[in-house]
Amino acid sequence: MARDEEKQDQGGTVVTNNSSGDRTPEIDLYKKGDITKMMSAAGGGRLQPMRGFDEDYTDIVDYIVRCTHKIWDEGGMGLLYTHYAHSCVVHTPYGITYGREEMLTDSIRTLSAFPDRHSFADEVIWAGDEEAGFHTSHRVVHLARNTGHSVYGPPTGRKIQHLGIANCFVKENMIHEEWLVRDALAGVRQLGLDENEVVDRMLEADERNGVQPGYGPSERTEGQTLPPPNPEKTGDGFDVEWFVRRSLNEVWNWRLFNKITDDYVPNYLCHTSSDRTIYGLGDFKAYVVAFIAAFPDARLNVDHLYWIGNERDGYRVATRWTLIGTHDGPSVYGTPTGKPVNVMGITHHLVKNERFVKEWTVFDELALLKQLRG
Amino acid sequence: MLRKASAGMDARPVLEPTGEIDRLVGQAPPPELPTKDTDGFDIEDFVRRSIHDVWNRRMFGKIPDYYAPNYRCHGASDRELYGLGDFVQDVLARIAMFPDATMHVDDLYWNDDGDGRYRTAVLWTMLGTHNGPGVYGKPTGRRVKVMGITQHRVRDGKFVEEWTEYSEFSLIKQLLLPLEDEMPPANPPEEPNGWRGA
Repeated sequence: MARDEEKQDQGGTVVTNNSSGDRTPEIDLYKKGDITKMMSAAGGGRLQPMRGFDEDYTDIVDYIVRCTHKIWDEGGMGLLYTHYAHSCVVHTPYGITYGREEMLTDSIRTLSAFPDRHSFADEVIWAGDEEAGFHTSHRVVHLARNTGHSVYGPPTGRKIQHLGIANCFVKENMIHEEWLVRDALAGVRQLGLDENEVVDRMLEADERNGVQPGYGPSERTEGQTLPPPNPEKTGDGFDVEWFVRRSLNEVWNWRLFNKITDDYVPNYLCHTSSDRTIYGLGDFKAYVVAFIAAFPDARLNVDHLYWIGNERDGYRVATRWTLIGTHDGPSVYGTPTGKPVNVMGITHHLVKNERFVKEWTVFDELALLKQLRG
Repeated sequence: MLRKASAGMDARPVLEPTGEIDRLVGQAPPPELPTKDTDGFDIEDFVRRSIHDVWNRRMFGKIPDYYAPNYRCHGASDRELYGLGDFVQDVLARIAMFPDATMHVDDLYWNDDGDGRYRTAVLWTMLGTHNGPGVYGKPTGRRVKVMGITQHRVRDGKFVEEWTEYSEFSLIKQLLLPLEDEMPPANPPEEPNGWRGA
């Protein structure tokens, strides 16, 4: 079956939601209200065409929030059979999971370890339509108590709270492809576990199963030439997609950290892994610079980008990215190991008045640690 | 194929797993039970459907539809569960430990006590492969077959109480009893498998 192919420059292949157009403004999580309101609105008719979706879903945001609630909070794990394609592909920082049964096994394992797990929907950024399929970027806060056995061992009884973002490609009620990142290191620390021990056990398991690690060199600069050029700006007026791509390229690939002052508001708020909150450009610049110092040849690729919103309310942008580099510099990750790393991440930005106002970034620092210790 | 256990242990043959547990056909979802042909409450359909939905189709969200909120479960090995929080966790933990678990109803009969009250007896078999974490320690990869009997009380269309018996000791033997060296288990434990009772 055909899957949506992401190209480096998305161009016109993704339909974006713009409330100044003729799209229904209620297809926005912020306008939905309490979960009880969403539940009583269920089955009340479609707000947008959604061929093949279950009748009770009113729109794609409703689908994402309420199917998550049905599957996780209400325990309807068997609903994976009607919400995930049999051959679904799930990308995680630990590798790719193929097929619905694997997804089901992993999900039941998590729910068994955290039976009271609640996943609060903080945000749903989306694009697409019933013809091309929908792309959704769903940011959740997971709240759970570890009262069951997990892959880490016997129940700790501790409470954990951490972010996760899941990007899904959905067609006719079925998720065909997913990119799932969780702030796993925050979870492991909150459980009171030793992260190095946890990583070492993962590496032992990998060795037993014959999993091969390793990545090639970063391609930030071709031989001895320059970092990749900025994308071309087309048209007049503010283009939020161009703005985000250009800024990320300039700051992260061209190392023009001074651009942060131009592109970000002074009281910038950044929620990032693991469980960090960074306020203000002093701390934010330090965070960016520290990353590049740790991985001096780092290159940030934007793999997929879509947004909702408008000039007046601001734009909410979902960016899936990969950072590849070599661990050659000092940092919180300890003595440089020289290991190549591949960091998969998703960021939600709020862009208003042509500046970044806040962000939520999720990448898996435990998976990163695993690449460094492997 | 049956193999003898090592010398020194009770030399009963230990079942060796062959083939996949047939809960699913290939990559298709688990089949649904055919819809019942009678109107009104049908105790046999109720028992079979609830077991199939919860255990085979993994529809844990349906447990409140089939079980009373103050459900009392007198489980094997002296487990006493009260309420659906306890009960759901028990079901979840078992399926997490045996991700391919399938439940077969081998025999079912009941007493109709009138006024929507029934007493049922189910002889069931659970098949599964020990591939997930849980009270039995690190996953061993061993195939288990558990035979059990559950007696339920049903009232006003819901289960209100149950008494379940199966040999948990037999289950643990299947996880730990060594097979002959010729065919080692899929995921041999490197250290003695520590089991802590629930």
